[in-house]
Amino acid sequence: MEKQGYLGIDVGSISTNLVMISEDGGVLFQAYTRVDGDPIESIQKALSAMRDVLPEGFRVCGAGVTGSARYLIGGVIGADVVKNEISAHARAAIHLHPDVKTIFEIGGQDSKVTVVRDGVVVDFAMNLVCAAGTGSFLDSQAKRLNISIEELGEKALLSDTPTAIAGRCTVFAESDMIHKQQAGHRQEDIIMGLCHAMVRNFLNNVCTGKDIESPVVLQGGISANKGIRRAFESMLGSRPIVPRYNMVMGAYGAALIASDAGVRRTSYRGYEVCDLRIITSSFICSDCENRCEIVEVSDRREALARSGGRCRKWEGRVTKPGPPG
Amino acid sequence: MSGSKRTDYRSVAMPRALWYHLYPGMWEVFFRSLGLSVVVSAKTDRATVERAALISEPEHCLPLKLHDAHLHGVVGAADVVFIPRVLSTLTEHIACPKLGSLPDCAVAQFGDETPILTIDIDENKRSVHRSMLELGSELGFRRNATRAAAAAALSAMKTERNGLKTCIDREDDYFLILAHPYILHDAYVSAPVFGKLDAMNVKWLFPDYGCESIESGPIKWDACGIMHDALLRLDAGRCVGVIHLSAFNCGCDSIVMEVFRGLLWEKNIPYMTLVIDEHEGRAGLDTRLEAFVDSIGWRNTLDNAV
Amino acid sequence: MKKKLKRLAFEPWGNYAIALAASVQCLNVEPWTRTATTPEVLELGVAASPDSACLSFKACTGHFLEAAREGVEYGVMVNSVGTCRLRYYRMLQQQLLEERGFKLFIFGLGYDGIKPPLIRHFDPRPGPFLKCCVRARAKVLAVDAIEKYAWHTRARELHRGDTTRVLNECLGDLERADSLLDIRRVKESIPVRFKKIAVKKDAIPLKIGLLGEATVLRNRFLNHNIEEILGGLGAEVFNFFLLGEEMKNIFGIGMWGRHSRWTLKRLAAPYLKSLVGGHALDSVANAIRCARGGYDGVVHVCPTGCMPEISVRPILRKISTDMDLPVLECSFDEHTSHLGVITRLEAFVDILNARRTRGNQTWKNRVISV
Repeated sequence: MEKQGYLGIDVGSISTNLVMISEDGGVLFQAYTRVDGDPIESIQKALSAMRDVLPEGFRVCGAGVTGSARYLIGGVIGADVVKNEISAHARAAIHLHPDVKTIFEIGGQDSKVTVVRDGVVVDFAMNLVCAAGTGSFLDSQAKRLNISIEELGEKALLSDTPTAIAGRCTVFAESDMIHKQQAGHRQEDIIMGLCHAMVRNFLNNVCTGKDIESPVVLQGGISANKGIRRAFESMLGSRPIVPRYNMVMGAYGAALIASDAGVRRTSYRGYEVCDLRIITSSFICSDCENRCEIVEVSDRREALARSGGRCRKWEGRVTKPGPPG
Repeated sequence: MSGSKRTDYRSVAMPRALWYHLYPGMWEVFFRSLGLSVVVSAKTDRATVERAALISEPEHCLPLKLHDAHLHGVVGAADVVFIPRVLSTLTEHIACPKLGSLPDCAVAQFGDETPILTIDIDENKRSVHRSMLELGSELGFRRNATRAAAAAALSAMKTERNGLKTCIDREDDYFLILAHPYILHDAYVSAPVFGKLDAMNVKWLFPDYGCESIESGPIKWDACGIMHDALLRLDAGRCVGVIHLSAFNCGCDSIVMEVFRGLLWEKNIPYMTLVIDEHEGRAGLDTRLEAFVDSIGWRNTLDNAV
Repeated sequence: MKKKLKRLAFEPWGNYAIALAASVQCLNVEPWTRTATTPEVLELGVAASPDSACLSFKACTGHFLEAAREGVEYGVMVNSVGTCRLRYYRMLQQQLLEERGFKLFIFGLGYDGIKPPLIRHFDPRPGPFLKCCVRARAKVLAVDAIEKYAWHTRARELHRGDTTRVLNECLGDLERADSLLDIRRVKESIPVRFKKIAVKKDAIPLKIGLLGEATVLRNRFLNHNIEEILGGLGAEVFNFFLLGEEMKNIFGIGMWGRHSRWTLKRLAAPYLKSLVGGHALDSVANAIRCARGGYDGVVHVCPTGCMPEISVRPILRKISTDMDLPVLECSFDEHTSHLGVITRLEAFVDILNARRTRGNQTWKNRVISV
């Protein structure tokens, strides 16, 4: 068993993922946790689970954090690298599939397309405000149909004539779906129709004007869904590759980026993170007329990290004298 | 492009969208009279709308998206694709800014695959008739031939416009429909609305977009100016309601709708806006139209119900 | 006792508010000083405006509404004669204010006969009026100078925030400067103050051009502080909307400057042969200028649905492929998530850095001088 490695954490809106890799990029440990509330708590749980798996005396040489709460969490755990999710996801996809040309990453609340040529990101796009091309679209429709998201994927495969479901956004699609239900369409056809609608919205809203070429890598929470995979296949004309660690690619990428960074001495706090008693508070910054709300995370009396505000002066770890743990 | 001789063009293609509907029937007759064969893209259908969503800029308005899709459909279908630069279709007024960059965008998108033929149309500088003459001479046609073609084209447009339903019986009450010509004449977009109105036995008309000039008002966009002018001269006794058909993301409409709302509120005429987008939601459209007509207490509907 | 002056609100145009305030002093009115857009102001504007109006309109409307609530008597709004929606904003805002029972009257600042209505109404004496105009112009130029130094320094600063602090100090001094002499003193102090900031001496930062719609380019609330975000990521930006240069175009003087309409038209001609409206031509021309000038990339910013800017996007894409210039399209509306903007900009900077490392870009270390 390896004696040292790099940690990657992805703090998204729907899930918190954690990956530990060895120096040659192999995955030693991975955890995918659905967030129900506090991301720090789920990180603590994942870390203690990791402690049980990894050998005694395992050394973490560097830690990278990505995802929407990256600055705050980066400050809390003492990350060496804080990276945006587009670059992190691309890093992992290119590592696993060096010939990749297009990456579709569909998460809970955002979806992205990244165009890669010769192993380098050359272009990307993210969904704007609309949730139609994201995982939450399927989530809400599954809720409406009263089935689980996993069931939804299985059932979709039974369909041979998907129902056409119109609608740019979740609300419109839902009304159209109800309409189709009332018209007597089979449930599996409606479900496959929903998958098609989601993929179509993603291709129309996010991928417009982007050079989509095969091989396509599909990753993010949604890539586990078989119906979505099938829908992509029928619309692109080729089967998208779903990488081995499809659910935790962001965290994987963050770990890889941490290992690229050539960290001499990591500022990662180690398992000490598990013992932190996190108190989250907020205050209003009165330095300018925007009066932004700043979130502060502290352990007992000591402030660890802050985030928020339209300027970037509060982002990240609260620097304090003395060596980090 | 400017260096090559253009007289060897034997056929010309154009998208059936946007500016095409501003001059219904005119361009086809013009080019055909000059002896060119004309390819116009097929009428908007579901496939067009789907292609529009896939290839066009998501933030464009619906008519512009449709234009992109129609254009995509005719590239390569003829020797040259014709896209005029419409700067103004009415004196003292200007066109929507988006029309001004259309030929350049077409060159940017399809310039490698086809030559693009263009001509400035700016009623503030010269009439569309003169623009056609200039286009003819640019293409290398003789003056007489161009003149005859332009005359034929203008009269064809007049016939086409007269064929449209713009007048009703003198005694009837009516609804006024406000919509840009390219919404009005694109059956795929407007037919559901008109079909529903007809089904409810409602009389309706729209402003005369063929008028030569209007009094200069605050709205300087051509079609919107005509709508505004029509509203100012609206007879509150006979016009029972105004329905504004707007395309999703139409920039001009977003402004003038507020102005119209204020104006009609003062005139005490009910006003409803219907925003149409590429995603069909016909049920919702029908509901709103019915509710609007019902709320006015449209007598024909009541008669029919009995 | 001094009579209480009537107050005048103007549109929120970033740091240029300082200069605008100076320009109205001669009219014997007090400038309404709360000129920064805040979340509350935007909320007011969004609630009152038509849904599909652009972000600039919503912010500006919110601003006038706030002023009207405070009892401000007058407002002044740019009143263009172009094809863009901007032309009707004043009219619409006046209508929205009246519908809500506010008395604020908005003057149009634009061509309307010989004298703008604002001047006709207040009728200042020519002497003080001219003096004010000269002072306002000096302040605009000073703001431009300060910003240029800030863009340059921020990408190189050692301690994050130093540049912004100096920038705000300079702007504060400029605001307080009353006479031409004071303004000149501030202007002369700018290089000295910025040179005091500790910088990474050997850094060769990325160079990113900011193009697009003027209000969003200049209002740092609306553009989510794009200059600071990029600067913090180690990129030197150049914001192509400079009021000092734009003034020449507005008044139709100076054909020869780098930013004159004439120069821009000539630059853009291979790709765009029409003015389109707004600053669409400027965006195309400046994108070409960036490509030729060795910029690493450009960010095209505009409000969502901006008529002129969106309509030239296909052309910008063509320029991007033809001239190998990465372009990031950013449209902003009231729903734009701040985090999404940061993520996008970070990823864009990553791409540009990767391009540099791979050396597939003919990058020249040229000092941007305008």
